[in-house]
Amino acid sequence: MRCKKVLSNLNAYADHELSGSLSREIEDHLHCCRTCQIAFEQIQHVEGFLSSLDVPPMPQEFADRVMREARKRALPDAEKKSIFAWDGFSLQWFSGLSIPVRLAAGTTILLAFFLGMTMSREISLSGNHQATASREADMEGFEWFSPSPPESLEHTYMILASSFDAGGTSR
Amino acid sequence: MIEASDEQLMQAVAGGDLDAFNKIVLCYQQQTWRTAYRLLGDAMEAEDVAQETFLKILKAAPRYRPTASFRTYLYTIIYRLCLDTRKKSRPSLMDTMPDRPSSSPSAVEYLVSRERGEEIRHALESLPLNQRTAIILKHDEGLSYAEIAQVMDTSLKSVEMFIRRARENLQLKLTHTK
Repeated sequence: MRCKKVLSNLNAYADHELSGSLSREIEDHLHCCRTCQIAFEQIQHVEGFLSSLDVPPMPQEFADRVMREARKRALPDAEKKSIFAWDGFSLQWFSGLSIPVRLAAGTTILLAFFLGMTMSREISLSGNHQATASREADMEGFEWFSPSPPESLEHTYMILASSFDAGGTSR
Repeated sequence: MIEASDEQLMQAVAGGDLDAFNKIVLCYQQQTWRTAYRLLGDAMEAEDVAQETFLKILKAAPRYRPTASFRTYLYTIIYRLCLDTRKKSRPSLMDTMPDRPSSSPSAVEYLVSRERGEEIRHALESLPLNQRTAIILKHDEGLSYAEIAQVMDTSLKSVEMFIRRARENLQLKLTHTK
């Protein structure tokens, strides 16, 4: 194995990231190449520096502070959930469903909504038709009893009928 | 009694179980704090990031899917929060938290080791964040290259390059200051 290949893999070798065969090849090379050996020692040297760094102490009562903040933040979430809950029945089940099932449920709800909207519109339109028809009938009735032209047969009939009626009342 | 796995604890947290959340905090607080401190080099910022990491885990618990290990998930959050913190504030100098002597050396030895510790910390702090993250996750936290790539959302080759450059830079800085 050439030094170039060894040097390019030396960090991965030091970190035990190489396959068994490549690792063995590098190991063999290091036994007989002083240049690559020095490069490997430098890596170990840096690792030694890093190991000498002490771990800083944890801030005191860190976990307690996190838990206090967590309880504070968890409370409003519980309140938010109650908006979507009726008598202990919560919509939390919905979030537990898989995405395709959620999509299917959502589509069904939308379809049902639009179907409902269309049906209510149809009913309202047929109601309007009935109202218009009855208004037209009223108009016809109104025209029937409205004053007729003086020379028409209807006019004569209306005069006769009213005079009979007046006579009947006077009796 | 069998201990619950991280994934089971996360499921419990998603159901609003704060005791399960407390277990996660107690189990991971040390490494969360340590990583945040190593990446930021500032105790107060590190504490904020560590706290925010756990609160993000709590908030995201209902959406959590165990596609990767919980550890990788945790470090991803820490790394992203550290990136945000670095973007907001300019890089600060390392604070002067004293090193604890590992075995009671003499006063002179302690001062020398403390001075050396400061030099190493300064050298580490001067590395670009991606190199520092890669070397810390490898050296301190023992993550594999593949896990580091996942945390940093990058390729294996990039991780390898970050680690190589980090070691070269540290070697250069620490040999010169010797």
